Amino acid sequence: MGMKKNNEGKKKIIGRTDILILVSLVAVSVVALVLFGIMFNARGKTVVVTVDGEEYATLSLDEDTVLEVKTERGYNLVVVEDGKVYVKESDCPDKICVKSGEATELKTVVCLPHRLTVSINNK
Amino acid sequence: MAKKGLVSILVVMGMILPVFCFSSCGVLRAYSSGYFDYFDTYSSFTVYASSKEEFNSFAEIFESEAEKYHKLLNIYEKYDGLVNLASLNDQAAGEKVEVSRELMDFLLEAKKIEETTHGYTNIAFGAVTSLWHEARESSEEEKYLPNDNELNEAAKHTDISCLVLDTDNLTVRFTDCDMKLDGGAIGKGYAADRIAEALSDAGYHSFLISLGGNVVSRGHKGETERKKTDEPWLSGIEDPTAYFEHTKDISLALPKSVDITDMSLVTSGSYQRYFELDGKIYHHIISPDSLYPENNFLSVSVIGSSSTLCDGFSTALFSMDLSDGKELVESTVGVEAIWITVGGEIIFSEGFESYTVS
Repeated sequence: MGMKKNNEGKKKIIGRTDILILVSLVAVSVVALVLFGIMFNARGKTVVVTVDGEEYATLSLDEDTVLEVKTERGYNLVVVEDGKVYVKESDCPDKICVKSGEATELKTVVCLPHRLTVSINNK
Repeated sequence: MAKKGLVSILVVMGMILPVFCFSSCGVLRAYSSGYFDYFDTYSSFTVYASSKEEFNSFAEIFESEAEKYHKLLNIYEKYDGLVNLASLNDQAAGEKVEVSRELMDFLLEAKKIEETTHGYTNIAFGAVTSLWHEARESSEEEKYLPNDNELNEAAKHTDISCLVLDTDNLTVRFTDCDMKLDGGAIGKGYAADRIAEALSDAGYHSFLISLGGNVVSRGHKGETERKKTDEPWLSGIEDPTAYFEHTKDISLALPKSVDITDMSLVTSGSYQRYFELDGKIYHHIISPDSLYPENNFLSVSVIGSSSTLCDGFSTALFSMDLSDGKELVESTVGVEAIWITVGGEIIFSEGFESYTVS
């Protein structure tokens, strides 16, 4: 109660300059956030190929590419074509990676025998 | 003086605000990781975390829990100083074997699942499944089917009431010497539940984990304790027709995705673990009725809050006929299913469509 009375008796504590500074700082923050947001989104979709849990290659989904993955476990051919990515060939016994078709944002293509994955990252 | 002080406070606050937003409230980032080390399959997770450190400690919990249950529920490998399903299969027929609380809890849950699925998902079915496992693992040139007499003989030793659990003294004993445990039908689901539990307990609010065909999510995407979001975790349902020569021309109208926020989705299918002999498909889900793999369906997916139950149900439904399976699902609260038949027909349980996103 006492505090409040004291404040009422004085001049305004927050002047016009203060408000100006505060508003401009908030504005700068907002602009920075928006810019960062745009930068993050502008990166587009990428294809991530991993072998044995480690990143093997990162490809753009917008560029048609053929990637030969040759490791001690075996061979896979990863193809990016018309914004789609799939495993076209493999010398694994079950060929599940080839049969499972294209990778999507909800589906990682996996070659268990070769410990290979192909996934799409939306970043 | 007072005024200047206030201005400085405001200036400092203004400078801190954007930094604060970037580090904690503004950008929670999605981090993902994948492994080939557990349950003979590919497992992975995605978590929303505010820093690399937070992601690393999430990964540590995921890895240690996954490894723990991978070892505990393993029937092919034994580990020094650990009593797991493989060691029970070796020892519990002779004498009482002491087990950990964790293994006892699994066995108790397995018994419940057996009851709920009317015996269709039975961890005491190992004598039969091991015959099929050997056949599946045999070399391509010498593929064979298990002998019918052997199968029938093995089926006599699958009564789960011969698995005697002493929960007070934490001991296990088999009263049938030829009984074998096989946790495969619910192991991944059970592990997924335990991993999710450990991660929630550690304070993580928004993540999705996947062990083979078992997916579990918590929270909405990017959710924190204070900030709720409404972006759902989505999962696709795999089109199984693409895997077989005789079904690959079928085009399925599958739902684009399924909202699995705070739920688990588990798929059992014939399309990944199987062998072919004389043009026939022999997959890994063995029916307790025929003692053979049934080929009524290409896959069955089950959604519900318990991944263990979903896993047990998807296995059971795969071998049950459609009408029995539907009855089981409709009579169980909080569980829905989708069946894909060999003919390419898609059948939903009554409530499944409330989860689909088109």
